Amino acid sequence: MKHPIISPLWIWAARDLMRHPYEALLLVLSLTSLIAIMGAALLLVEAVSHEATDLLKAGPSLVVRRISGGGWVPLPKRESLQLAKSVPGVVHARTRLWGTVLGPEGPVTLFGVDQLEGDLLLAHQLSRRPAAGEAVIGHGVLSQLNQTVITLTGQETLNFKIIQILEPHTSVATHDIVLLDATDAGKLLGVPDGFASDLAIEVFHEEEEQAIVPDLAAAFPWPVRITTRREAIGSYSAGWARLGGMTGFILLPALTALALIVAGTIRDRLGRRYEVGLLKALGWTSTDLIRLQMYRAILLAMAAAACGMLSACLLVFWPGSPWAGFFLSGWQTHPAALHINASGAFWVLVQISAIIILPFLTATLWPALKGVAADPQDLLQGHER
Amino acid sequence: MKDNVIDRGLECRGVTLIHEGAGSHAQTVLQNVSARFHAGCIALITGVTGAGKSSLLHILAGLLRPSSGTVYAAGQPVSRWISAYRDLWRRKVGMLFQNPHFLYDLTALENIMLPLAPRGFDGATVRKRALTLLDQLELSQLAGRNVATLSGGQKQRLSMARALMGEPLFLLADEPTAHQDERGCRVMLQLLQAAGENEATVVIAAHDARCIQANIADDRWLLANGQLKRIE
Repeated sequence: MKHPIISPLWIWAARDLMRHPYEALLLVLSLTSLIAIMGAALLLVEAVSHEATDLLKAGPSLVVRRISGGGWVPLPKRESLQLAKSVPGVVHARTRLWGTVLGPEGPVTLFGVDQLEGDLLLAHQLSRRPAAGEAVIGHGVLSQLNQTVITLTGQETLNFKIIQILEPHTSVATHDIVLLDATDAGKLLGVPDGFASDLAIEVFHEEEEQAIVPDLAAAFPWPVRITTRREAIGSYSAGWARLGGMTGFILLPALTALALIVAGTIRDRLGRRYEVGLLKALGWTSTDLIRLQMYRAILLAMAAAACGMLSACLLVFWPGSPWAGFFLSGWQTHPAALHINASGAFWVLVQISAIIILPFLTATLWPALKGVAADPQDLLQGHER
Repeated sequence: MKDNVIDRGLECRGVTLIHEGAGSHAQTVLQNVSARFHAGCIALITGVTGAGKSSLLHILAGLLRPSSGTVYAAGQPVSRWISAYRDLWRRKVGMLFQNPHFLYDLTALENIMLPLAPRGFDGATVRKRALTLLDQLELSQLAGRNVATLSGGQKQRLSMARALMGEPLFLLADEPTAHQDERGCRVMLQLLQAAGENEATVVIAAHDARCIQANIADDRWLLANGQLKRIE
């Protein structure tokens, strides 16, 4: 007889699933839901952390803030720039005016726009700079994007005419920002003219970031806090790891559901003694039986993984899909547009495999190993019709 | 008797089977049974209901391990082999159960294709062979039917078709004619005879008079009180 390329056991495994189609469908749906929920959580954390890390990598080498006993205080623009540029190794320095104020639907990050010169990220997105009384807002600042005026509250409360809403696909960084004319921004943030929030410094080489810190600190006549890019990335990564941990806690019910699926699978497989006995009596080897069970489980797991990961990707990356952000990060307005990256998605798939698919396959394998060791007649006993 | 093919037959030596009952109620089903069933011959084992005929066939088929003693197939002590080797050996055996066992949510055709399913043969070829056997057993019309809907006689003939699927070297039939009408009985006996003519070792356990009187057996045995005796 001819031998086919694909093992006929795959076909029998598929046929075996069709023997109990509703049971198989329910199992796939349960696994799909689990993978979708867990995948969405992991993908969201991974995507946001990836975007944030990319932004920080594209950001300044060092950030200098003037501090006093009560926290940070504005620093004088001209003097700060002169002092920073006097330190050997500093290639470029610029002041920034930014902070957090209250928008109509929660806190927003405010930038004085004339401080954004050279910032390619935003330079490509602005149709024009906002003049006095005008604002450019991120996609997530307002839930009703047809509004023409925005009210912001900082040191005082002011209204601004919205001249542009930044596209959602641009970057997660622009999601909740408001760009104002520098003078307007200063009023809201309580920063007087001629002063800035901080100083962004570029050094020639990444390795110099840490080395230059003592010289830079000594150059200023007032106390400063200097954050290197590496420290900023580390701090954000720790933050995302914490969020990931909290997400895991939220997913406890999902893991409980997984435990139930695993227990049900073990019970179901152990209950199929008659079937195992019959197939052994017909000349199926223990290996054949284990392969059949595993192929069956793999077909289920593959279908569930494909549907689950697709759903998770849609929940996180589909434009305008707010679910994952709303449930997991509390995004109330329009969600930030996130971008899928292959390595991140692959890593999430590996985690999903370890957390969900592997226990499911083990739940199939263990009873199969247990069943095939018995003599066929012992397995068939008591099942005559 | 065809002595030239003796070595490929089945043999049991000193086979004893004790069923452990509840408490100390152990029941000896077979006691020190020794017999040789030659390849190319048909052996008929008779005995009253409950004599242990089915248990002996199950032991010969490798479905059950004897409490003591050994079963030899083609000179090899198969009942002493480890499970994995006995699994492989079982592929050479066709077993016709007294109470047919099936996967009741599969069709008749699918059920008889089962023995060849894991052996890597081309599906179309397996299907063709299965349909030929169904035709021989006058079951062609029932190929697509769910087994649960078949009558006792049809199930038994289906069980025969399945036993023959793998072209077995050893064919063990437990009450093959019990649920058959005259026509069905004739078909079953013809197939058993044909298997013997094809050099298979055929062992039939029966107490159905039609089977006993059909005179197809080369050897006759009587199983009574756990002892197997050859009838000369």
